Formats: sequence, C-alpha cells, structure tokens
Amino acid sequence: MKLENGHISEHSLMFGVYCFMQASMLRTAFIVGVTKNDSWAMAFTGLALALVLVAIYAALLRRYQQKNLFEINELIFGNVLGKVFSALYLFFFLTIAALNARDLGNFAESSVLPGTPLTAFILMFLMVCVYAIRKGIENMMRLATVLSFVAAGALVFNVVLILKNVNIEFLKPMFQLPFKNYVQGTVTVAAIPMGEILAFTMITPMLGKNKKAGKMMALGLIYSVISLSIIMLRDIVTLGPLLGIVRLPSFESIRYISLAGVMTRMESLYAVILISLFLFKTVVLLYASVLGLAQILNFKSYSPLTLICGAFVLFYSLIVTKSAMENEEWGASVAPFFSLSFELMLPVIALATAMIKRMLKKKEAQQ
Amino acid sequence: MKYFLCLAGFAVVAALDFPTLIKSKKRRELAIYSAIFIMVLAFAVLVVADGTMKSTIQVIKPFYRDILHLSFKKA
Amino acid sequence: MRALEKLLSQTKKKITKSVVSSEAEEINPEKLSRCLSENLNALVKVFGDNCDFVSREFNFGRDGQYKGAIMFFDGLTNLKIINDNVIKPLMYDSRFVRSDDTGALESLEELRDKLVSVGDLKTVESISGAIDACLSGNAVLLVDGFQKALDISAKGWDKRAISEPDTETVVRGPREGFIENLRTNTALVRRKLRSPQLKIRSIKIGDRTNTQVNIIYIDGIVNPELIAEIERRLKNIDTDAILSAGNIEQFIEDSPSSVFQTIRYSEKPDTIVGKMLEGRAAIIIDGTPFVLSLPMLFVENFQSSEDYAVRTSYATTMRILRFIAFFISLFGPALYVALATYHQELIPTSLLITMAASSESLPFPAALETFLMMLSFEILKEAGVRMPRPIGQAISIVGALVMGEAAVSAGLVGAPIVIVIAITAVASFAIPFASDAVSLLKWVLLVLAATMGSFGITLGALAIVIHLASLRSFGTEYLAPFAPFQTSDLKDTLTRVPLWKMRTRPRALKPRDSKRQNFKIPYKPAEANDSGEEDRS
Repeated sequence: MKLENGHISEHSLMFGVYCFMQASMLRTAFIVGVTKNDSWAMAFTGLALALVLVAIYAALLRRYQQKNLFEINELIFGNVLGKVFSALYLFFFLTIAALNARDLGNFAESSVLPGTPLTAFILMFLMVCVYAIRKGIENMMRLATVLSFVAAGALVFNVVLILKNVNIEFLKPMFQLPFKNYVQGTVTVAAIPMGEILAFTMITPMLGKNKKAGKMMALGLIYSVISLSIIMLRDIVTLGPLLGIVRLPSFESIRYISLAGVMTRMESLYAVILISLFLFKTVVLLYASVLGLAQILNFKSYSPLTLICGAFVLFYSLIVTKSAMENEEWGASVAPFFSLSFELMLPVIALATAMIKRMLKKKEAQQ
Repeated sequence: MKYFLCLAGFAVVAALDFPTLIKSKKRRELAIYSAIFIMVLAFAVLVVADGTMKSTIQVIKPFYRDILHLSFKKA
Repeated sequence: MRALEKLLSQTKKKITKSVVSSEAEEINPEKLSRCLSENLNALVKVFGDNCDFVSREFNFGRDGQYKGAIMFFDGLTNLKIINDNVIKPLMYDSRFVRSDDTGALESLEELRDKLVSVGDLKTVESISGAIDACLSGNAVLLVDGFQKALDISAKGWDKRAISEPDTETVVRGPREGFIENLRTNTALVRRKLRSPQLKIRSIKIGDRTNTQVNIIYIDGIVNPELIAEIERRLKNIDTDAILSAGNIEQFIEDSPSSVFQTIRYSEKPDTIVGKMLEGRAAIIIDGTPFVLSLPMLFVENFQSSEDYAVRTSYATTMRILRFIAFFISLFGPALYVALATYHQELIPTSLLITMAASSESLPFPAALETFLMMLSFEILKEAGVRMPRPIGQAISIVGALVMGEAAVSAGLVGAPIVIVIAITAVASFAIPFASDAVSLLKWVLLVLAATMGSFGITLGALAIVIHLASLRSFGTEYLAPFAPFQTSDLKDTLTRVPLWKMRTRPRALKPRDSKRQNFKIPYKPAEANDSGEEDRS
C-alpha cells in the first residue's frame, strides 16, 4: 500500500533539511541562555551528536528501502506493537508541529502585528499549511531549493550590512563557563532543532530507489549548522550583554542595521523569510503526522485527514503551552530529553530489534 | 461568539471533507473519519470552553523531571 | 436541414475521433451511387435550402455523351479556378479529341489525370465525403455512371491581410502576425522554419463547426510523449463548437480552476517558432489568429519575443523590470493598506506626517479607500476595452482626469492612494500575459492585508507560490526551473544570457535533442584576421 506517490530529487531533500533547520533560528534563545557567548560553538558540537541520530535513521532506512518510519515500525514490531510505536511518534510530531505553530503565533503577535488574537495567526498559518499538503508535499520540497537560497542570501546580506555595528570583544571570555553548560548546550541543540529532522523519514521514500537519504540529510544538516553558527555569532557580536535579555536575538540584531537611512527596518524582510521557513517546517511536521495517522488507520489516501489534522493542531497549539515564557523554560529544562526519547530512544530500540531479528533468522537458517 | 466561530469552522471542514469521503464509498474510512472528527470537535470545544486547562508541557514536565529525573537545571 | 444535421453528426463523431489523414471517406458506409441524378438528389436534399449552394449540370465528351455536375458553395470557392480549370476543359477542350480516340471514359481517374488541371485533387466515394468537401470550400465533380466523385480544391474566400498584431507590438523583430486563416498561418510558420522536420498534423474538432485544428512541432526536438498527450487530449474533446483558441485552451489545460494560464498564446509566428525550437508544440486553430504554444512555464509570462532581438544587458534589465512590475501590480495596493493601517512605523517619519495630514479629513479607512479606487479603475479599464475606440478615449479622459483629480480635491480619497493605484495599473500593463491572474489575486491580497496586515500578505504570497509550484502544464512543472531547481535553465528567466551562450534547450521541457548550438565566443579579433573572411568591414 502506497499512500504517497510524489517523487523528489535528493537535492530537494538536502535543501529541505536546510530550510527545516533554518526555521529554528528563533529558538536559539534556548541555547544562548545556557552557553552565552560561546553558543556559536554549540552548533558544531551539537552537529556531532545529531550526525549520530542521522546515522541511526539512515541505518533504518537502508534496511527497509522505500519505506517510511511508520511502515518500518510495523515491519519490525508487527502490526499491534508497531502501531503503538507509530502512535508515540505521531504524538511527538503533532506536539512539535503544535509547538512550532505556537512559536510562529507568538512571534507574529509580538513582532508583526501586536493586538491581534493569537488564534487568528495560527488559524491562517495552518490553513496555508493544509493547502500545501493538499497540493502535494513534493511541490513544497521542490520549493525548498529556492527558499534555501533566499534564506542564505538574506543571511549573508544581513551579516554584511551589520558588520559596522559589531564588536568582536563580545566573544570574550571564550569557553570559561562550567563544563556542564556546554554539555547542556550540545544536547539541546542536537535534540531540539536538529533531531526534529526525524520527520523527514516520512518523506524519504519519495526519493525512490536511492540509498543517499542519510547522506543528503547529513549534508543538509551540515550546511544549516554553518548558517546557524553564523547567525549565533552575528547575534553575539552585535548584541553582546543584551543577548540574554531579548526574546528573539536574531530579530533584535537585525534591527541594528542602518545604512544611509535607506537600508533600515530589515527585520520586516527577515520576518517574511522567517514566516516562509516556519511554514516549510510546519508543513513537513504536519505532513508526517497526517501520513502517519493515515498509516495507523490503514487509510487508502492521507488527503481526507489533512484538514482535520490541521484543525487538531490549531487547538492543540493553543494548549500545548501556556505562554512564551513557559515554552522557554521548557526548552531549557526537559524539552531535550522529551525530544530525545523519540529521536534517539525509539529509533535505537527499532534498530536493535531489527538487528536481533535478523541475527535470529540467520541462526535459524544455519540450523 | 467563540463557540459559534469554532462550530462554523468545523462545519466548513465537514463540508469540504465529507462529500468526497461519501463519494469514495469506503464505509470503514468514513466511519473512522467521523470518529476522529467528533473527537477533534470535542477537544476543540473543551479548549475553547476551559481557559484553565493544563498545557501539554505542564503535564509532561513533571513526568520527565520527577519520575525519570531527566532535566537540566536552569543555568 | 434535419437530414444534414443527422448525417453530419453521425459522420463527424467518427471523423473527429481520428486524425483526418486516415481517409475520412473510408469510414462512411453511405456510398455514392452510380446514377448521377440519385447523387444529385442526395446532395440537394442536404444543401437544397441554401441560396449560396451552386449545382451546375452539363454535358461533356466528344459527342457530349457524358453527363456531369459540379457543385460548390459560392463565396467559399474561387470561381476562376472552377471556370477555367474544370468546366472549360470538360465542356470545351474535351470535344477536340483525336478522331481515332473514341473519347470513351474508362474511369473517373482518367478525368483527373487528363482533363482537370487543378493541383489539389482527391477522389471521394461517399456522400458524406462530398458534403465535407463542399463545406470546406472545395468543388465536387460528379459524373454519371461512376461511383466516385472528384473533390477539387478551389478554396477562395476573403481573408484579412497579414498585419502587425495589436497584442504584441515590437520595436525590433518581425512585425507580421497570424490571421484567421489556418493555411496562411501554417505557411507563416513553414516560411520561418524551412526544415523537413517541421510536422503539421490535423484534427477536426467540433460536431457543428468542424474546426480544423493543427498540431505543429519539430520532429526530433519535441518530446514524442508530449505530442501523444496533446493528441489524446484534443481527441477527447467532445463539443459542438470551437470558435477560438481560448475554447481549445479550456478543454485541454491541466488546471482549469487556476487563475494562471498554463497554455501560452501568441499572435506572432516568430514567437511560436522560437517556442517550437525550445521543444514546445503549437496548436493552430482555424478561424483565430491566436496560436497556442505548450507546455507553458511561469517565466513565459515575463518573456517577450523582443528580448531575443535586443542586446543582452537591456533584455535582462527589462526582464527584471517585468518581475518588479509583476510584484508591484500584485502587492501594491495590499502593501499600501497594510502599511497605512497596521505598520505605520515602517513608513519614514516625514512621509508619515504628510500622509497623516492628508488623511485627517478623509471619510474612509485606507482599506475601503483602496477598494473603491481599485474597483473604479477596473471598471474604467473594462469600459475602455469594450467601447468603440473614439468613445474609449473619452472614457480614459473622464476616468483619469476627472475622477482621479476630482476625487482627491473633493476630499473623498487621499492623494497617495491615487498614486498607488496608478502605479499598480501601469505595472500591470507591463506584464500583459500575467495581468489577468494579477488583477484577480490583488483583490485577495487586499482583503488579507486589510485583515491581517503584512502577516496576511506574506501568507497570501506563500499560498500563491505553493499554488504555482503545484501547477503542471502538459507534464511540465509550471514553476520550473525554480521549483524543481534547474541551474542550466536559469539562463532565460530572470536574466537573458547572450544568445550564443544558450547552448541547451530548456531541460524542463524534456526535449529529445537538448543541444541547441555549439558556439564559443562570437568574435575574436586576433583570429578574425587570419581567416580573412571577417575583413569585409
């Protein structure tokens, strides 16, 4: 049974991962709060951990070619237990989809259009997400390339324009914090934005007979880590001590840009790109949820479930967290473990089970 | 007012989804979809009605922090 | 008339389903009779009520022993050809056969081979074939004692002269345009493309109008699957009338509900030939000067045949300008409303003060103001197009001067909005192909801007982009080469690279032969001298 029938190229997947990751720029506040002015380095140490995750996903995908995560679950654990595992993943995808939608809502409410109810933002945002999924995720993935170029271009543009406002001294003192802070920073960065690319395991079957899924995910991750560290470096050297105070460091640092009275207010342009990236990320997460739900329920096609899932995420996002403050606190304390239990624990269990099963089979064959 | 908006939204969802499902003549899918629809609708009404509902992360947090003892301390 | 209709609808249904090149008359069971008067009766029964139907009976042969009849529609045929090349040889020249020749006619083919001096001649064997011939402007020659008739091509009707099309004027580049006559149009294309690989295939569509539709493409460049798909969709059309290119377009396009056109049209042969050379196919429809080319990409909305006739740098600038014009015409009013209503902090302070001062006494909010001005502009535009030209000018004067000026001085609307609407209108004229879609979408964006400010505009724009990415035109992604991204195809999108650098045809169209040319650098002074050929200057 095949629920999706689109086809994407491997480059689309790579740029898709890049876009997906760039949408997490807003969440740098989590890490910045922990590792202060050394945060930019966390992107690289986090990458090392995240590549382990990607290696696990790639191993799973290689074992079960042309199958998505939920199908793999059912193949490894059988129908009933597999569905239980799938349901756990579904909960995870829906939760991060809701958290992202909520993040965007909070962002829009505070920075774009104060005074409008949060629900209205999320509603409209999810409507476009649902439209995108209805039109086919492969189209969204194809747009990823251009979107990546736009996002990367805007980043370079911003960095160049802000050069006159930076103060390299803000980077000092380097690496003077307690060691456990770095551990926390690394785990957080790996779990919260990076590990979420687990959702792409629902899309990789669209690559067709291609073993490069893991490689492309890793490449996308590496490019986005470079961007992420540049963003954090920029924020650190522009904002300095303000870093820990402002809620959206990236947004605040771009506010500093002012060139001859013409190049000002760049943050409004940045907001447009950010909304686009958020849309991309939420579409991927929502698609993973919708396709997963269809898989669990043995539907012939996922499209009838899109709208109702979108409706669910809308209301879920309203209660997933009480406030932006609570969300931040959550990100700095439990969230990495919550995410890792789905991003690391469940796939490891699946992989281990698959390996044991194969060994048992081999033994049987030998006897 | 907010109840009305919520119900109107769900009416739109129903109007968009049900005709195609009914046309496709898959009884099982229609039944499951209806069940999901009612569940989501009930959930939505709960969310709209109860402003004091505990947030999801409020529920999950104690589980990880106090039972599994997995949590970073606020730096 | 009933009989004709019945007969036609019976035969046409079959004919339209097959390409005409497979002989139409073979299909029809209603054979011609051996007896002339029976045939005449049958035809007169069909056409008898028509005053423009001519049926001329005469005798011919050495002793006038043969009875024949020629029939045609007056006005559709060239009488000179019929008189000089058909009737005269038969009635006059056939009397002067040599005395040893009995003058006996073995078969109708003998007439064709020896007497009737017309280039395009066919034999038909059925009543419906004869009817078809008459209707398409040919003359039908019937001879007593033969079960066949001659279909003599003597088409000659009045047609418009070839002129420069109004829709796509150019400064440099050829000025001739297509006209309403199918054969003239195919000739215009063939004159530009003197290649044996140019293929023109014909299909008849429309139970009543029986319109000839030609698929025209370059064999060896075009993807054969594309031709098969076009043919399949054309044959699937089951309608009674095709009156314009737009009719065909609506029957075969991929997404009829989209506001964007996924089939490009042009009135200029050079544009169409250019498209064909890129690996597209064209559809020429009898009776309309608009030729369709497909598949269409989104960037074609911004391309003009003149881009390839002018210098690269200028062409590229114009391309970018058109994209900006598209952006302005789409987002102009919406951005104004969003800025004036929600994001005043983004407006420079001095301008904001001016705007605030002028809007102090205005009765309507910015959104309503914009709505009213856009509405009146759209009405003006429509009135200007539909009215006879002299009145049209009066309308534009009334609209531009009286309404714009008076509305501001009367204090009904602010001056900034008049400027915004004017810029939007002018910008939309710079992109004639996309202006239809834009004029609809800007309303949607206006509503979004009025309710949710820049957030609404952003999401609206994203929805449009997603929609564009989901469109397909005959198996090609509409947004190619942007999505899916294809570096080699970017050369003719935002930029127009030098012609000699366009080494490959667009990959998105999946041409069979993707290599266009192999040319390095057009002129190298050092090398030019030793060849000696470049010394002409």
